[in-house]
Amino acid sequence: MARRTLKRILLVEDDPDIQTVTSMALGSFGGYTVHVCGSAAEAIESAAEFLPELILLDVMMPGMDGMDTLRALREIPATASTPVIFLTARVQPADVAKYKELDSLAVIRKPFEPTALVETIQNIWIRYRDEAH
Amino acid sequence: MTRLTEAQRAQLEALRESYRAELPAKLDLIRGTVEALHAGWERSHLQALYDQIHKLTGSAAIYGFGDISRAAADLESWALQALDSGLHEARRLELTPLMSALQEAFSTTETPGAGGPGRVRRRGSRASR
Repeated sequence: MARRTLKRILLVEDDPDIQTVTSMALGSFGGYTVHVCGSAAEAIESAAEFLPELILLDVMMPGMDGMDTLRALREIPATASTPVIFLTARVQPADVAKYKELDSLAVIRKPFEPTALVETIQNIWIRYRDEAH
Repeated sequence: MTRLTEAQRAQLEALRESYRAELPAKLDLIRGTVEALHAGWERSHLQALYDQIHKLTGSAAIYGFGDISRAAADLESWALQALDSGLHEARRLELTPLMSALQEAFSTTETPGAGGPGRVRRRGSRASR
């Protein structure tokens, strides 16, 4: 089986300031194709069309939070098994345990350094890819 | 850490400058919410303050304004505790010095990164939103 290459990332983040710097880091520094959604509803609507290989998901969003968004994305065939990384400041052990229960790939703690984000994601992706194959 | 080209560094710096230019508006918004809170001590104002300050805590750190982020984190922690356990008189009195510290951080922030990017100390975690 061919090793999967990471090209397309769906970023789900409600804060425009964080959207801007994160998508710039992923697109300009990492060379990824990034689709940005500001809400769970947008993510659910666009996921099947964008077909991301990885989803970066904010936890605290108005309306549907990140965990419920992940549950909803799992109901969509196109994203039923797409790896998800949570982006969040909520990293207490009890929070992290919940993210793991939802079968998320990893958690990246906010605030993060934009220049380090790509390397962090690459490392997570390599580990995931190697474990999957 | 990703090694940036000059163009990428300039791109990041331009974003930081753009964020810095928006800081006064962010402070004005928070000031307005704090004024509304002082006028009414209503939970809706408190929730609005928490939401605004939570965003500031995270985004200011990511953009390299560490002092603002740290002052915002203290105010965020205060708002979280107030949401969870109420706005009694002693807690209300804490708001003014916390807000003064935030305004001080805004006024002394001249250079991105001057306050350190950084890890933000968060004293509480939100149980539910």
